[in-house]
Amino acid sequence: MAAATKPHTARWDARKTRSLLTGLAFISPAIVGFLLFAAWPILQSFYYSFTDYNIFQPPYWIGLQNYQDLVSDRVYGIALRNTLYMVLIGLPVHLLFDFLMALLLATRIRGLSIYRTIFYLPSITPVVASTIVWLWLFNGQYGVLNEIVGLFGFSKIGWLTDPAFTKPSLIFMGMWFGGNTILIYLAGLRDVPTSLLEAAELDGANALRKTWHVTLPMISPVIFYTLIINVIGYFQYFTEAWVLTATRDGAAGGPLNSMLFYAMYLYQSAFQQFKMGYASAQAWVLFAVVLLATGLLFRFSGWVYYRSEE
Amino acid sequence: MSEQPTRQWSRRGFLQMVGMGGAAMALAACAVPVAPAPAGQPAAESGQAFLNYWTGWSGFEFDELQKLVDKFNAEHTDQIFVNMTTVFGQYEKVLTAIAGGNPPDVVSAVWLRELVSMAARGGLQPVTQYAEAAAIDGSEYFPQFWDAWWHNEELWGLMVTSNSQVVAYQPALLAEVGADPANPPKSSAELDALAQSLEKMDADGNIERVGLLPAGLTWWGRVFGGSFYDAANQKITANDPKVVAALEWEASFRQRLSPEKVAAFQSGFGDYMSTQNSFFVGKEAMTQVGEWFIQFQKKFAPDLVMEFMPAPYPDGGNDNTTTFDGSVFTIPAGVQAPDASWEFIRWLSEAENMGEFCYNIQNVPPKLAPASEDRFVSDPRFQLAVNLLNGPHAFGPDKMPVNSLLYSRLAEAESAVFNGQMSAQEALDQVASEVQAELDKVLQRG
Amino acid sequence: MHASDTFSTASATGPGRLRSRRNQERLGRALAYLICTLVALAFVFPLYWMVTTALKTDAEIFLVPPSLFPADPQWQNFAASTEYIPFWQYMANTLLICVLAIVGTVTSCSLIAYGFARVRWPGRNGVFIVYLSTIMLPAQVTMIPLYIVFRQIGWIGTIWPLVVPAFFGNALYVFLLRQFFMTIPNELTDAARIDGASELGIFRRIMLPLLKPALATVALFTFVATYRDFLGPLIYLTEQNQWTISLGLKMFQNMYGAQWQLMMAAATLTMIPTVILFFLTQRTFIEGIALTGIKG
Repeated sequence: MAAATKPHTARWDARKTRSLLTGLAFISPAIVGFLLFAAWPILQSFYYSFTDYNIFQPPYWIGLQNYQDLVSDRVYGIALRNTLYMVLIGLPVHLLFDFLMALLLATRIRGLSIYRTIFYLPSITPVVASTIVWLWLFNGQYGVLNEIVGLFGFSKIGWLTDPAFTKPSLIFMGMWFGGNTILIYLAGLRDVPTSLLEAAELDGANALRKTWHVTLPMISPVIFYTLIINVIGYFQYFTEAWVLTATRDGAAGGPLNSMLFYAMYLYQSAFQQFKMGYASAQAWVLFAVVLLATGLLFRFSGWVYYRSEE
Repeated sequence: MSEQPTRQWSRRGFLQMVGMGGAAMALAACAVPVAPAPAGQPAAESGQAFLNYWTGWSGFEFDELQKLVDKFNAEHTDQIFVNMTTVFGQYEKVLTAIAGGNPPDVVSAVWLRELVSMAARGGLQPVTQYAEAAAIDGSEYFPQFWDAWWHNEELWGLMVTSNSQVVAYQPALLAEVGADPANPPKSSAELDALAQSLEKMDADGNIERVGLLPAGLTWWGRVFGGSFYDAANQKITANDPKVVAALEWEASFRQRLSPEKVAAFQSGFGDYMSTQNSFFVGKEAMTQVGEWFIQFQKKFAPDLVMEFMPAPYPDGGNDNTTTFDGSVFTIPAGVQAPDASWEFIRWLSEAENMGEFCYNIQNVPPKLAPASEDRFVSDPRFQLAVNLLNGPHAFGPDKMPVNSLLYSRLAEAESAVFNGQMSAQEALDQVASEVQAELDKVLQRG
Repeated sequence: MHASDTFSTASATGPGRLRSRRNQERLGRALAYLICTLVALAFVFPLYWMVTTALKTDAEIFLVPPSLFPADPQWQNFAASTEYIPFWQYMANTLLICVLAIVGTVTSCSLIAYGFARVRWPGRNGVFIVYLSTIMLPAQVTMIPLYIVFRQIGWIGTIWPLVVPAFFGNALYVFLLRQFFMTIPNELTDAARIDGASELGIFRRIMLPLLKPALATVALFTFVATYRDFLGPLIYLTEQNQWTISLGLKMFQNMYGAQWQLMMAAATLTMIPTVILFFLTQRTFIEGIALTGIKG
């Protein structure tokens, strides 16, 4: 982008060719990997989305029918709304929480290494073990969370049984898995030049102003990263909700489908109802939505400050 | 800080990493021509078939089945070696492998309710001719089971286990409220009255004990005499007035006790397979289970007296009603040499082997002879389960290709009606129309 | 550990500071300490529960109200859990896959990220978005065609589908490294470029050392993701003796419940080496890009 401002780049010249070849050489593993392991499966799934593909028999072309069916699919609508809830509420809550925790951890307090380990522990806990533990914590009767709620004099909450509480419960639980994001923020915070902070201090800036005017711009590249990656991740939110709500019969989604998310419905369509074509259409709609969302975030990423582009 | 150490790390570290990467790639490249021969298993002798069998069972059930597989392998030395792997009931593994042209030789991670779904879509091979050659004509089986495995005049697999649906109750609690424990309710009205008398609230009006919280429309709909599918006209009948009545009846228990209080009460149920099972601790005086529950009662509540009754039914309903489902042993489409697959299924279905596995996991053997052995039916509760499954009102899943959708939408409808979001009629009308639309699509493209 | 010097540069103490400001800072630190401790307790509680469950008897697990301390710690649960499943075999399988995946990911991602971040070539941002978009499509719908690709290569039933793709980059980590590459000021490389250094030379001699902490972070993330992966090993491994630990842990479950105490014991055991490793190496991860020499 910055290169475009240099006057001589308007013409195609040897330098440009050389930089193109150098760039392509560096990213060649990605190109080869894409061609080997991604291109064909992606094209296939795009093709499936225009077919009736029941997994066992060859796909049968039906044009845009799958996409039309999505419009009138009531349960698809529920899954879409639940997913938007997680993206619009869960994601900001989690990123803010993780950022605040990283700020706290970046201060000088005693036993820092122990704290950092503790905050990372949940991220390395085996999925099956951690979700089971959470099921017990959320249990209405003997669950510890209701014991704590009881201490404050509130009546018991149906964390995973009351449709009004299920998604907030999931968000609450999700705060526990922020280890990776906290770690990324910590690495970014470490890079904020001390000289800048000192300069701001000399100007009489308080902690809040320092954070806003110095820290945030300096770590904006990593904030941007976590934002994009989590937008992609939350639109595909699956594992925790699935493990928490799956029943013996293979159904999932919780009371009144309040925990049925996009990727879960997609999974059910594909592997329980044998509608791989329909699932593929869902996947490509999701792809378009996520691409649009991330595209907009990239388009309006002027707030991200890269020192290499000064 | 000096730059030298980091620079050295860079050069050496990077080169090491590239080197390791290259070595790993070389290894990978070497692996390419190697056929996906099963590692760690004795190489197949000439003439010995190596059979991959995928099961949905894990935990203690897997261990019990492994004993049987070992016995099979011992009896088939030099002929067939069965290698059992569990897929934990994860359908995507099975479906991906079949679609990917690399199916297991035998798979039992197929629920009976999905059998027609998979058969109709071309995912399975029929075993009709094998069964005929082996003189398996169904006479040894409970008639409803044998019938359940047929579709389009082909036999699609066999079950070696099955289970029933009954109502368990604690005689002591019935006696406590003045009911006769030896004569449990026969009609829905009697059940309603008994359940109500068994309900207990604490001082704050919270539920302490319920009589019964009926749920599961696929069973109660049958008990009320309803049906979900009209095979002759290929119509989904989930809004059959009798099914609607069953759902209204189920919901009436929640309405009487208030749905919020029931939800709060149920969210406090302990782990099912534990001493804290809500029935064992007396939170439910009656509960819906099957004969497999006997083993858990013996393990977790050995001192508890538990009896079974068939589902009480209303006027115009069905007496002695049970539903059944279970894992079907099938041969996926694309298996090149199904003879060995069939031999394994056939051997497992021998009365002795089937009986042994069923006894170890406390399920009902689908064959009449082993099911009437003393080790099973000396327990009157088990006898009741066998009688129900052998009776006229033992219902398997409907033989139609969109059962997964029907079951999930029925569960959703129950949840909506219990929560007071919709009336039973509205909810079931919606199920019928949505599932019908899907069925029409599948049949049309057939 | 060396907690005191970890952040020694974060807020240097100057002599001309006001007393009130120092008090304010002290108060702030106390507050940070309090919040950290409370949140840490909340974070550690589920794990505490996991470990104590591993030590309980069958009957004690579901007591109402729950018991916070196992009445009679069942230490033999740990040994029993490693016998119920071939625990060490599964751990060894998992570690092999993890190590190969880490080597592949770190090598390939650093190269690719450099190409996207530090080499200016026409169209690189567009290509980057296309590359990033490959992780926007839910994997469920590419699972079958991808399986067919691996079957045609002959890799079903081997660990290669879980390892080899790592050598061709992962958009998630390429993006992360790209962000860190882009925070490095150009002055650092301009001088080398004027001296006639090649791009590969700049990448190797200047950039990689600076990016060491970020690479360590990518290695850690790759390790954790690989070690927790359930679906990949389930789909591609065909023999139970090839299994990874995340599959093994599911073996404690049956249709109606599980042997929770054994499962939790095994889960606890799998975490111990990772926790120790993380505790000892954590300074690397949070060090950030060490901008030694260009500060000020």
